[in-house]
Amino acid sequence: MDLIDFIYESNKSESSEVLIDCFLEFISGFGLNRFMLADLSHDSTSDKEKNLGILVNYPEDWLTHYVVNHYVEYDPVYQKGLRTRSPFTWEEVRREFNSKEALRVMDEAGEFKLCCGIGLSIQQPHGKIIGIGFAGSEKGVRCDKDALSMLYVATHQLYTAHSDLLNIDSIYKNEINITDREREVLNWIAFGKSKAAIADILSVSESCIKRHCENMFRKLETNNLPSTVTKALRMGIIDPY
Amino acid sequence: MEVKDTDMDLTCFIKESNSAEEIEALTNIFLKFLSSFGIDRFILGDLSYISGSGKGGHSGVLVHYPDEWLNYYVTSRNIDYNPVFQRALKTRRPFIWEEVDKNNTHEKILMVMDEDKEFSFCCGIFVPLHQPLGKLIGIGFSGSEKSVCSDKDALSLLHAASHQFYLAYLNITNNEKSDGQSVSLTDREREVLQWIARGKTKSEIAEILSLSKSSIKRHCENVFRKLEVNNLPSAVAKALIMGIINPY
Repeated sequence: MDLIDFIYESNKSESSEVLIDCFLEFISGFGLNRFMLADLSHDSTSDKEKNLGILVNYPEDWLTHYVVNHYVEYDPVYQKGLRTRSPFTWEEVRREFNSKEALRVMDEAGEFKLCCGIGLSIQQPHGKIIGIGFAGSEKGVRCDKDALSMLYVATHQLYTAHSDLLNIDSIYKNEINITDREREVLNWIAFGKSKAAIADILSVSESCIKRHCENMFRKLETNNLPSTVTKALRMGIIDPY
Repeated sequence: MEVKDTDMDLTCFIKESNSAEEIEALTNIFLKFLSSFGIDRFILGDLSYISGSGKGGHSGVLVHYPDEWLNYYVTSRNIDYNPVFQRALKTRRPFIWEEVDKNNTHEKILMVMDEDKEFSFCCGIFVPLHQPLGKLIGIGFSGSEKSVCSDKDALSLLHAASHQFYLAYLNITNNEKSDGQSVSLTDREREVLQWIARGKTKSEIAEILSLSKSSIKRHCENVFRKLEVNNLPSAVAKALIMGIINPY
């Protein structure tokens, strides 16, 4: 099944099963027979684990092993998915993440017949990230640039078609309302200024700055500056540099 | 809407765009692909700069007339991008410009680019391309075939091609070169900073990693030195932007 056929067929699918079968047929053309689509955008390990299998056909026993050992924290494919924009091969990831724990995850995956693969991620509104891993059980996985591109766009199509089938709203509402002033303060914080220095820059009192910070803690559900910076940056609320 | 056989199909577009070595060549390849949908122009913009402040500003916009820069026209004619931007922020799917654009912003933009040419405008489609750290790229298309807007398959193909176009564009402009190469934190330093980014205190991290608090303090000081910052919020910000630590 070529890419264009996959797009047409996926748009016509009337159930998740049919859609997944279509996708499996498409990826088999690249020597891939397994895939897993996960929601990576969670702060705690257990939430990450709860959201591993939006769509998945990795072997059950591998998934159990993965969760019991908390591999979300060590799996280089998962970790790379959190910070990449482009598709990547497992080979590349083995070279980049060469800690003992990372390589162990990759080696053990091989024991479950997940030998070579590809990873990619889909960025969603408000900083959310969907990660997808593909695996093949033989060495002949097609990993050239064109293959990666085709898998990348096919995955976007899969996710859209799947959301349609589940009637998932395609508009992601965001309830967080940071004011312009709060954003300004947080940008300075992320840039490295102290509250006293910011008070000077904006010609207000330091307690005013403290109040803005406290409001942001409440809105972003954080209780210190570093985690507030993290949340605001990943949602695109601030842009300090 | 049937894609004509003589035109460039999506698979062919992927191959050609991956081999393009310059933006101009890539743009021409994209236009060739788009022509089979009756689309004859596109605008690519970095919308990250309009973050909620309501101001219409642009940076690094690519239009398919290489000499034109949209910024000049936008600021001198007070064009308000806000409705389109607000919608693009919330969805990852293509949408019809007219659904959200009550002030005919799209037409105005294309008209100012085409002041001395005759121009027919039937249909405008906008594709948001969400990027890491909440950044937002958008591509606006316009063409003479209204049927593109309602054909699900055509929109899917366009969506796919837009993502591929931007990946190829990034590849050419080398934006994927990780800044993280020039700064090298040890595994431990990265681990500590990742916990800081998640909101843990130094004492909590000391417990999690079974280290002393002074050990954690020392790792933080090394991180400050390597990242050239002097406090934790800015260390976290810089490390996130450079891709050294993860957003989650």
